[in-house]
Amino acid sequence: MKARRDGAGFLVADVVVGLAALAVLAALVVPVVHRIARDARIQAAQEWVQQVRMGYEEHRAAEGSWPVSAPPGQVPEGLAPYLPPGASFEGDGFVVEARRWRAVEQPPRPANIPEIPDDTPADTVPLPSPTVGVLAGVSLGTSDPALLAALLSRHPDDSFVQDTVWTLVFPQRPRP
Amino acid sequence: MSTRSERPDPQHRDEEQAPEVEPGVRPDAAPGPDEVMLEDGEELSDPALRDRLLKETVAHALAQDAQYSGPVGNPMGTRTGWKLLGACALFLVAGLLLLAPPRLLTGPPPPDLTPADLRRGMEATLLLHALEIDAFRLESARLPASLEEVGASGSDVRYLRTGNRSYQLTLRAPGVGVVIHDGTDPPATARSLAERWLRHPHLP
Repeated sequence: MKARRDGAGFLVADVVVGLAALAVLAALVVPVVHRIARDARIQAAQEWVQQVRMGYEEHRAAEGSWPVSAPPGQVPEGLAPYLPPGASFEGDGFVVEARRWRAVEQPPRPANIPEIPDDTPADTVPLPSPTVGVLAGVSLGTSDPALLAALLSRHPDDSFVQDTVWTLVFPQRPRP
Repeated sequence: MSTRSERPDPQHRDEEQAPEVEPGVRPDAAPGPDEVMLEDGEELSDPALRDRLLKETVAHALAQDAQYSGPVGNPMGTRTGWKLLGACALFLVAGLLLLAPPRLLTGPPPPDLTPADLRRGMEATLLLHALEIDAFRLESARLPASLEEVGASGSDVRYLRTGNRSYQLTLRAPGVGVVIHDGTDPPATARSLAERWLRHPHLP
Protein backbone atom coordinates (compact mmCIF):
# COMPACT_ATOMS: atom_id res chain seq x y z
CA MET A 1 0.00 0.00 0.00
CA LYS A 2 1.31 3.35 -0.86
CA ALA A 3 0.88 6.01 1.75
CA ARG A 4 -0.86 9.10 0.51
CA ARG A 5 -1.61 12.34 2.12
CA ASP A 6 -5.29 13.09 2.22
CA GLY A 7 -7.02 16.44 2.36
CA ALA A 8 -6.96 16.64 6.15
CA GLY A 9 -3.23 16.34 6.28
CA PHE A 10 -3.07 12.81 7.73
CA LEU A 11 -1.28 9.92 6.20
CA VAL A 12 -3.13 6.70 5.67
CA ALA A 13 -0.67 5.20 8.13
CA ASP A 14 -1.85 7.67 10.75
CA VAL A 15 -5.45 6.63 10.16
CA VAL A 16 -4.51 2.95 10.47
CA VAL A 17 -2.69 3.63 13.73
CA GLY A 18 -5.76 5.47 15.02
CA LEU A 19 -8.01 2.56 14.09
CA ALA A 20 -5.65 0.13 15.80
CA ALA A 21 -5.68 2.24 18.94
CA LEU A 22 -9.49 2.28 18.84
CA ALA A 23 -9.50 -1.49 18.41
CA VAL A 24 -7.34 -1.92 21.50
CA LEU A 25 -9.61 0.43 23.43
CA ALA A 26 -12.67 -1.53 22.32
CA ALA A 27 -10.99 -4.80 23.25
CA LEU A 28 -10.41 -3.40 26.73
CA VAL A 29 -13.94 -2.07 27.11
CA VAL A 30 -15.95 -4.98 25.68
CA PRO A 31 -15.07 -7.54 28.42
CA VAL A 32 -15.76 -5.00 31.13
CA VAL A 33 -19.15 -4.11 29.63
CA HIS A 34 -19.92 -7.80 29.22
CA ARG A 35 -19.00 -8.49 32.83
CA ILE A 36 -21.09 -5.59 34.11
CA ALA A 37 -24.09 -6.71 32.05
CA ARG A 38 -23.69 -10.32 33.23
CA ASP A 39 -23.39 -9.31 36.87
CA ALA A 40 -26.40 -7.02 36.56
CA ARG A 41 -28.46 -9.77 34.95
CA ILE A 42 -27.55 -12.25 37.67
CA GLN A 43 -28.17 -9.71 40.39
CA ALA A 44 -31.58 -8.85 38.94
CA ALA A 45 -32.53 -12.53 38.70
CA GLN A 46 -31.46 -13.19 42.28
CA GLU A 47 -33.44 -10.22 43.54
CA TRP A 48 -36.41 -11.43 41.53
CA VAL A 49 -36.16 -14.89 43.07
CA GLN A 50 -35.99 -13.40 46.53
CA GLN A 51 -39.12 -11.33 45.91
CA VAL A 52 -41.02 -14.30 44.51
CA ARG A 53 -39.97 -16.48 47.41
CA MET A 54 -41.24 -13.92 49.89
CA GLY A 55 -44.45 -13.57 47.88
CA TYR A 56 -45.01 -17.33 47.92
CA GLU A 57 -44.45 -17.56 51.66
CA GLU A 58 -46.70 -14.58 52.36
CA HIS A 59 -49.38 -16.12 50.15
CA ARG A 60 -49.11 -19.40 52.00
CA ALA A 61 -49.23 -17.67 55.38
CA ALA A 62 -52.29 -15.62 54.39
CA GLU A 63 -54.19 -18.10 52.24
CA GLY A 64 -53.11 -21.35 53.84
CA SER A 65 -51.88 -22.85 50.57
CA TRP A 66 -49.30 -22.39 47.88
CA PRO A 67 -50.20 -20.45 44.74
CA VAL A 68 -51.51 -22.49 41.84
CA SER A 69 -49.36 -23.40 38.89
CA ALA A 70 -49.30 -21.23 35.77
CA PRO A 71 -47.88 -21.41 32.24
CA PRO A 72 -44.39 -20.01 31.67
CA GLY A 73 -44.25 -16.25 31.86
CA GLN A 74 -47.59 -15.85 33.65
CA VAL A 75 -48.01 -14.79 37.25
CA PRO A 76 -50.06 -17.43 39.13
CA GLU A 77 -53.56 -16.45 40.02
CA GLY A 78 -53.76 -14.86 43.45
CA LEU A 79 -50.05 -14.25 43.80
CA ALA A 80 -49.91 -10.73 42.35
CA PRO A 81 -50.98 -8.98 45.60
CA TYR A 82 -48.01 -10.54 47.35
CA LEU A 83 -45.49 -9.41 44.75
CA PRO A 84 -44.03 -5.94 44.17
CA PRO A 85 -46.08 -3.81 41.75
CA GLY A 86 -45.34 -4.66 38.17
CA ALA A 87 -43.58 -7.89 39.01
CA SER A 88 -43.45 -10.24 36.04
CA PHE A 89 -42.57 -13.86 35.47
CA GLU A 90 -40.33 -12.85 32.59
CA GLY A 91 -37.01 -11.14 33.01
CA ASP A 92 -33.89 -10.20 31.13
CA GLY A 93 -32.99 -13.45 29.42
CA PHE A 94 -35.20 -15.77 31.43
CA VAL A 95 -38.79 -16.90 31.74
CA VAL A 96 -40.35 -18.43 34.83
CA GLU A 97 -43.05 -21.03 35.32
CA ALA A 98 -44.97 -21.50 38.55
CA ARG A 99 -45.01 -25.19 39.46
CA ARG A 100 -46.84 -27.47 41.88
CA TRP A 101 -46.21 -31.11 42.61
CA ARG A 102 -48.30 -33.53 44.59
CA ALA A 103 -46.56 -35.63 47.19
CA VAL A 104 -47.62 -38.31 49.63
CA GLU A 105 -47.20 -37.34 53.22
CA GLN A 106 -47.20 -39.66 56.14
CA PRO A 107 -48.29 -37.85 59.32
CA PRO A 108 -46.39 -39.06 62.34
CA ARG A 109 -47.93 -41.40 64.78
CA PRO A 110 -49.30 -39.58 67.85
CA ALA A 111 -47.84 -40.44 71.18
CA ASN A 112 -49.47 -43.28 73.04
CA ILE A 113 -51.75 -42.60 75.96
CA PRO A 114 -49.76 -42.75 79.16
CA GLU A 115 -50.07 -45.96 81.09
CA ILE A 116 -52.17 -45.80 84.26
CA PRO A 117 -50.95 -48.01 87.10
CA ASP A 118 -53.19 -50.93 87.94
CA ASP A 119 -55.25 -50.28 84.83
CA THR A 120 -55.59 -52.15 81.61
CA PRO A 121 -52.91 -51.42 79.05
CA ALA A 122 -53.66 -48.45 76.83
CA ASP A 123 -54.47 -49.06 73.23
CA THR A 124 -51.75 -48.35 70.69
CA VAL A 125 -52.61 -45.33 68.63
CA PRO A 126 -52.86 -46.43 65.02
CA LEU A 127 -50.69 -44.91 62.34
CA PRO A 128 -52.63 -42.18 60.50
CA SER A 129 -53.35 -42.76 56.86
CA PRO A 130 -51.03 -41.06 54.40
CA THR A 131 -52.30 -37.96 52.68
CA VAL A 132 -51.48 -36.11 49.52
CA GLY A 133 -49.82 -32.79 50.05
CA VAL A 134 -48.52 -30.17 47.69
CA LEU A 135 -45.05 -28.94 46.93
CA ALA A 136 -44.62 -25.63 45.14
CA GLY A 137 -41.79 -24.05 43.30
CA VAL A 138 -40.72 -22.01 40.31
CA SER A 139 -38.76 -23.11 37.27
CA LEU A 140 -36.58 -20.53 35.57
CA GLY A 141 -35.55 -21.28 32.01
CA THR A 142 -32.58 -19.52 30.49
CA SER A 143 -29.86 -20.16 27.96
CA ASP A 144 -27.26 -18.51 30.18
CA PRO A 145 -25.29 -21.21 32.05
CA ALA A 146 -23.66 -18.57 34.22
CA LEU A 147 -27.10 -17.54 35.48
CA LEU A 148 -28.04 -21.16 36.16
CA ALA A 149 -24.83 -21.76 38.10
CA ALA A 150 -25.14 -18.52 40.04
CA LEU A 151 -28.71 -19.30 41.11
CA LEU A 152 -27.77 -22.83 42.08
CA SER A 153 -24.87 -21.60 44.18
CA ARG A 154 -27.19 -19.09 45.86
CA HIS A 155 -29.81 -21.76 46.72
CA PRO A 156 -27.81 -24.99 46.95
CA ASP A 157 -30.26 -26.95 49.10
CA ASP A 158 -33.67 -26.09 47.67
CA SER A 159 -32.89 -25.84 43.99
CA PHE A 160 -31.49 -27.92 41.17
CA VAL A 161 -30.61 -27.55 37.51
CA GLN A 162 -31.96 -29.82 34.80
CA ASP A 163 -30.85 -28.98 31.25
CA THR A 164 -31.45 -25.24 30.87
CA VAL A 165 -33.95 -24.95 33.70
CA TRP A 166 -33.25 -23.98 37.28
CA THR A 167 -35.98 -25.09 39.67
CA LEU A 168 -36.49 -23.74 43.14
CA VAL A 169 -38.65 -25.82 45.49
CA PHE A 170 -40.31 -24.15 48.44
CA PRO A 171 -40.02 -26.58 51.33
CA GLN A 172 -43.13 -27.46 53.29
CA ARG A 173 -41.21 -27.09 56.49
CA PRO A 174 -41.15 -23.57 57.87
CA ARG A 175 -37.81 -21.92 57.22
CA PRO A 176 -35.68 -21.53 60.34
CA MET B 1 28.27 49.98 -13.57
CA SER B 2 25.48 48.14 -15.33
CA THR B 3 23.86 44.71 -15.08
CA ARG B 4 24.08 42.42 -18.01
CA SER B 5 22.66 38.97 -18.68
CA GLU B 6 24.97 36.19 -19.64
CA ARG B 7 22.60 35.24 -22.40
CA PRO B 8 22.94 37.30 -25.49
CA ASP B 9 19.30 38.04 -26.10
CA PRO B 10 18.40 41.01 -28.25
CA GLN B 11 16.60 42.94 -25.56
CA HIS B 12 19.65 42.95 -23.30
CA ARG B 13 21.74 43.91 -26.23
CA ASP B 14 19.53 46.94 -26.73
CA GLU B 15 19.77 47.84 -23.06
CA GLU B 16 23.51 47.44 -23.28
CA GLN B 17 23.60 50.04 -25.95
CA ALA B 18 21.12 52.33 -24.26
CA PRO B 19 22.87 55.52 -23.10
CA GLU B 20 20.32 56.29 -20.36
CA VAL B 21 21.86 53.81 -17.86
CA GLU B 22 23.92 55.87 -15.48
CA PRO B 23 27.32 54.44 -14.67
CA GLY B 24 28.03 53.54 -11.03
CA VAL B 25 24.37 53.01 -10.10
CA ARG B 26 23.36 49.45 -9.03
CA PRO B 27 19.84 48.26 -9.69
CA ASP B 28 17.71 47.28 -6.70
CA ALA B 29 17.28 43.67 -7.75
CA ALA B 30 20.15 41.36 -6.81
CA PRO B 31 21.72 39.47 -9.65
CA GLY B 32 20.55 35.92 -10.14
CA PRO B 33 22.80 32.90 -10.26
CA ASP B 34 22.85 32.95 -14.01
CA GLU B 35 23.73 36.62 -14.22
CA VAL B 36 27.19 38.05 -14.32
CA MET B 37 28.37 41.36 -13.01
CA LEU B 38 30.48 43.20 -15.53
CA GLU B 39 32.90 45.76 -14.43
CA ASP B 40 33.08 49.01 -16.26
CA GLY B 41 34.83 48.56 -19.52
CA GLU B 42 34.53 44.82 -19.54
CA GLU B 43 33.30 43.26 -22.72
CA LEU B 44 31.62 39.94 -23.24
CA SER B 45 33.63 39.50 -26.28
CA ASP B 46 36.76 39.01 -24.18
CA PRO B 47 37.74 35.33 -24.78
CA ALA B 48 39.38 34.96 -21.36
CA LEU B 49 36.33 36.31 -19.61
CA ARG B 50 34.07 34.05 -21.64
CA ASP B 51 36.15 31.03 -20.71
CA ARG B 52 36.06 31.99 -17.04
CA LEU B 53 32.32 32.54 -17.10
CA LEU B 54 31.75 29.33 -18.94
CA LYS B 55 33.84 27.40 -16.45
CA GLU B 56 32.04 28.99 -13.54
CA THR B 57 28.69 28.25 -15.09
CA VAL B 58 29.56 24.66 -15.78
CA ALA B 59 30.95 24.25 -12.29
CA HIS B 60 27.79 25.76 -10.83
CA ALA B 61 25.61 23.46 -12.90
CA LEU B 62 27.60 20.43 -11.87
CA ALA B 63 27.37 21.43 -8.25
CA GLN B 64 23.59 21.86 -8.55
CA ASP B 65 23.29 18.54 -10.30
CA ALA B 66 25.34 16.80 -7.65
CA GLN B 67 23.22 18.35 -4.93
CA TYR B 68 19.81 17.43 -6.30
CA SER B 69 20.39 14.26 -8.27
CA GLY B 70 22.08 12.22 -5.57
CA PRO B 71 20.27 9.56 -3.55
CA VAL B 72 18.26 11.20 -0.85
CA GLY B 73 16.86 9.36 2.18
CA ASN B 74 13.07 9.10 2.56
CA PRO B 75 12.36 9.87 6.22
CA MET B 76 8.62 10.04 5.56
CA GLY B 77 8.60 6.51 4.15
CA THR B 78 10.56 5.20 7.11
CA ARG B 79 8.14 6.74 9.56
CA THR B 80 5.19 5.29 7.64
CA GLY B 81 6.70 1.84 7.89
CA TRP B 82 7.12 2.15 11.61
CA LYS B 83 3.57 3.41 11.97
CA LEU B 84 2.15 0.50 10.00
CA LEU B 85 4.24 -1.91 12.04
CA GLY B 86 2.94 -0.37 15.25
CA ALA B 87 -0.61 -0.52 13.94
CA CYS B 88 -0.21 -4.23 13.21
CA ALA B 89 1.07 -4.74 16.74
CA LEU B 90 -1.91 -2.88 18.18
CA PHE B 91 -4.34 -4.91 16.09
CA LEU B 92 -2.64 -8.07 17.36
CA VAL B 93 -3.00 -6.91 20.97
CA ALA B 94 -6.65 -6.07 20.37
CA GLY B 95 -7.30 -9.52 18.94
CA LEU B 96 -5.61 -11.22 21.85
CA LEU B 97 -7.60 -9.14 24.31
CA LEU B 98 -10.85 -10.07 22.60
CA LEU B 99 -10.04 -13.76 22.34
CA ALA B 100 -8.58 -14.18 25.81
CA PRO B 101 -9.42 -11.20 27.99
CA PRO B 102 -7.45 -11.14 31.23
CA ARG B 103 -9.08 -11.83 34.58
CA LEU B 104 -8.57 -8.19 35.49
CA LEU B 105 -11.15 -7.22 32.86
CA THR B 106 -13.60 -10.10 33.10
CA GLY B 107 -13.66 -10.41 36.86
CA PRO B 108 -13.96 -13.75 38.62
CA PRO B 109 -15.52 -16.39 36.40
CA PRO B 110 -19.03 -17.53 37.30
CA PRO B 111 -19.28 -20.89 38.97
CA ASP B 112 -19.59 -23.76 36.56
CA LEU B 113 -22.13 -26.53 36.74
CA THR B 114 -20.30 -29.67 37.74
CA PRO B 115 -21.33 -33.20 36.74
CA ALA B 116 -22.34 -33.68 40.37
CA ASP B 117 -24.69 -30.69 40.10
CA LEU B 118 -26.18 -32.11 36.91
CA ARG B 119 -26.60 -35.56 38.46
CA ARG B 120 -28.26 -34.09 41.53
CA GLY B 121 -30.60 -32.15 39.24
CA MET B 122 -31.54 -35.32 37.40
CA GLU B 123 -32.19 -37.16 40.67
CA ALA B 124 -34.32 -34.27 41.92
CA THR B 125 -36.30 -34.30 38.68
CA LEU B 126 -36.93 -38.03 39.04
CA LEU B 127 -37.92 -37.55 42.67
CA LEU B 128 -40.60 -35.00 41.77
CA HIS B 129 -41.95 -37.39 39.15
CA ALA B 130 -41.92 -40.23 41.70
CA LEU B 131 -43.83 -38.10 44.20
CA GLU B 132 -46.52 -37.51 41.58
CA ILE B 133 -46.69 -41.21 40.79
CA ASP B 134 -46.94 -42.13 44.47
CA ALA B 135 -49.73 -39.58 44.96
CA PHE B 136 -51.58 -41.01 41.97
CA ARG B 137 -51.10 -44.50 43.35
CA LEU B 138 -52.46 -43.48 46.76
CA GLU B 139 -55.55 -41.92 45.20
CA SER B 140 -56.16 -44.51 42.48
CA ALA B 141 -54.86 -47.66 44.16
CA ARG B 142 -52.81 -48.46 41.09
CA LEU B 143 -49.78 -47.29 39.22
CA PRO B 144 -50.30 -44.99 36.28
CA ALA B 145 -50.03 -46.47 32.83
CA SER B 146 -47.86 -43.61 31.65
CA LEU B 147 -46.50 -40.28 32.81
CA GLU B 148 -49.18 -38.49 30.84
CA GLU B 149 -51.72 -39.96 33.25
CA VAL B 150 -50.16 -38.06 36.13
CA GLY B 151 -49.72 -34.89 34.14
CA ALA B 152 -45.95 -35.16 33.90
CA SER B 153 -45.54 -35.36 30.16
CA GLY B 154 -43.17 -33.32 28.09
CA SER B 155 -39.98 -34.33 29.82
CA ASP B 156 -37.19 -36.73 28.92
CA VAL B 157 -38.02 -38.93 31.87
CA ARG B 158 -38.83 -42.53 30.94
CA TYR B 159 -41.33 -44.43 33.05
CA LEU B 160 -41.26 -48.20 33.23
CA ARG B 161 -43.66 -50.31 35.22
CA THR B 162 -41.83 -53.35 36.52
CA GLY B 163 -44.85 -54.80 38.34
CA ASN B 164 -48.18 -53.90 39.85
CA ARG B 165 -46.43 -52.18 42.73
CA SER B 166 -43.04 -51.30 41.34
CA TYR B 167 -41.75 -48.94 38.72
CA GLN B 168 -38.54 -47.30 37.54
CA LEU B 169 -37.84 -43.83 36.26
CA THR B 170 -34.79 -43.21 34.11
CA LEU B 171 -33.22 -40.06 32.77
CA ARG B 172 -30.23 -39.79 30.49
CA ALA B 173 -27.95 -36.79 30.01
CA PRO B 174 -24.69 -36.33 28.14
CA GLY B 175 -21.69 -36.21 30.44
CA VAL B 176 -23.61 -37.76 33.31
CA GLY B 177 -25.06 -40.95 31.93
CA VAL B 178 -28.25 -42.65 33.04
CA VAL B 179 -29.84 -41.98 36.41
CA ILE B 180 -32.36 -44.51 37.69
CA HIS B 181 -35.00 -43.96 40.36
CA ASP B 182 -36.46 -47.20 41.65
CA GLY B 183 -39.91 -46.65 43.10
CA THR B 184 -39.40 -49.35 45.73
CA ASP B 185 -35.89 -48.25 46.67
CA PRO B 186 -35.26 -44.56 46.05
CA PRO B 187 -31.61 -43.45 45.95
CA ALA B 188 -30.05 -41.67 48.90
CA THR B 189 -30.11 -38.27 47.22
CA ALA B 190 -33.84 -38.56 46.61
CA ARG B 191 -34.43 -39.50 50.24
CA SER B 192 -32.34 -36.56 51.40
CA LEU B 193 -34.21 -34.11 49.20
CA ALA B 194 -37.57 -35.51 50.27
CA GLU B 195 -36.58 -35.15 53.91
CA ARG B 196 -35.72 -31.52 53.27
CA TRP B 197 -38.66 -30.51 51.12
CA LEU B 198 -41.53 -32.47 52.67
CA ARG B 199 -42.80 -32.01 56.15
CA HIS B 200 -43.68 -35.71 56.56
CA PRO B 201 -42.10 -37.57 53.68
CA HIS B 202 -43.45 -40.97 52.82
CA LEU B 203 -40.98 -43.02 50.86
CA PRO B 204 -40.60 -46.80 50.76
